[in-house]
Amino acid sequence: MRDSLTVVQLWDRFLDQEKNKLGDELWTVYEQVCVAALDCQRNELAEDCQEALGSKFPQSVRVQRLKGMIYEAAGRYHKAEEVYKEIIDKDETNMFARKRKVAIMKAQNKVAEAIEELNKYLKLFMTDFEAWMELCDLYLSQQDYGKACFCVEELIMSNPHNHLYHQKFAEIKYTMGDPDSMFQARSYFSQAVKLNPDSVRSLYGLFLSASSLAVSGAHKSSKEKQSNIKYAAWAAQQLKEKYTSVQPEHLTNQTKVLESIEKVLESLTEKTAS
Amino acid sequence: MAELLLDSNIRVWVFLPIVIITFLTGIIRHYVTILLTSEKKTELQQVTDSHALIRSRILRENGKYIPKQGFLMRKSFFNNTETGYFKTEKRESTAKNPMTDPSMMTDMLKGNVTNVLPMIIIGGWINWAFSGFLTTKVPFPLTLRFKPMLQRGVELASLDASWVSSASWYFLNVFGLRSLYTLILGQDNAADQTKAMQEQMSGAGMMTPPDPMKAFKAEWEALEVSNPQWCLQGVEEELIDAPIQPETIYIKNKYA
Repeated sequence: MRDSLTVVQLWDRFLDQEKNKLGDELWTVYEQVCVAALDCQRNELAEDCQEALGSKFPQSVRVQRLKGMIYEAAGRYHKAEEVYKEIIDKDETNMFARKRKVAIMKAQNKVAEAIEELNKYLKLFMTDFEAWMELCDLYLSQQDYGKACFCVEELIMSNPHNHLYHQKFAEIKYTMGDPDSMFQARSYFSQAVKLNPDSVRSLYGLFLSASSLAVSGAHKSSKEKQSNIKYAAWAAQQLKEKYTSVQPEHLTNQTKVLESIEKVLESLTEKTAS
Repeated sequence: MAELLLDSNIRVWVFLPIVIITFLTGIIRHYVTILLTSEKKTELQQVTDSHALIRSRILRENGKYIPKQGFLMRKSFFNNTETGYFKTEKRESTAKNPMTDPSMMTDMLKGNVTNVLPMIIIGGWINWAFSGFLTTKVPFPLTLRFKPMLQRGVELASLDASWVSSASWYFLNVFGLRSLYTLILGQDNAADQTKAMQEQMSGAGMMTPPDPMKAFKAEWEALEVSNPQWCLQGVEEELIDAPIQPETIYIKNKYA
């Protein structure tokens, strides 16, 4: 959770006056407010926090990185990069500074360089799953789906019980669109539904991938086609139940999506019948 | 045996001072340790190694959740006979000799200064200044076996074992004040001596970091034999035949 606006408002309203009562907590509060202020474009507030921290801990790397972030917020990327480089020289295991460097490139819209830098970073810190996620998004923005898939696989392994990772993987595979990927998309959408039966997005994904597999004709036997239709019908039924349980009946009757789902289903069954 | 009566001066000048001295030494030791501890520098190489090992372990455990192709790709990244990570990465054995590494020497010295020296000095001083008193009596009868533990410095064969001598009272304090320190200084304080002694007992093997080459070799073997099957095979059937979720039975229609 990152609710910067609330943090800054709380600071303005209460904490600023009650600083002295915080004791040693004050410094962590300063740090958090500083980052929150940057999120809200309150650069002056952030600078105040950073200065207060800097006078208390003049040697601290953590304060230095805040300084770098303030430069970043002001758009002075060159200066910020210098700060981060200094941090890395001082402590080469500092993951934060390295990641900020990638963020600078991303902010400047140098996606290719950012990807390269992030790859270098991940070679050193292979289990930083935040970084894998970021790399995945960068690849997606470049429409490099194969590599994005690799990143999501890494995420799935990090936490196989998170349905969002499965869903994301399935969506990328669905976007790739060839029969093998579509098959995998169907499986991973199913897994996501299994992990979270309320995920409407995954249900739609399951419906779409199953029905497109049924239509595509890439399957080996008619049995496989039948089962694809079965999955699509099941997903459609689940979706319908979801809609009827959250809204009154007359609204359900008007829901266009359900109608179109019905139509797709009908056309599928017709095709197999003929 | 006739009841012994202790001089109340013993309480004021022996019993309480020992408690206070041990307690204050603990506090001082805590702050001296904080002053002396040097920040442990971690090396980039070590961090990278541990990340690689963790990733390989995760791959072994959760590899079944990703498509087989993805698993094989990663496995060959780590284990390929020519280009595999665990095969090509060569690390020097980091098992340093503590005598040749000056930073390790100072660490050891600091440990001794804060743990062993006060123990000897304060213990010796207490033994010298307060020896030969009976300070208190435990409120329950004890067998003769407890005599050497509770009556150090007072060798009287006929004395009841419940009596505690001053030197023993000091040791009881040294080992018994731990919870009080936790209360005042918080968790993980350095005031407690028992922990330091345990560390010394358990040997210096802890001090040397494990050899990465050995860890790589072990992980390579473990990964080589692991061959998980894709566990999402047939998940659709399982999903459709799954028992009906309770909420779909009971809350069919909220507005009905």
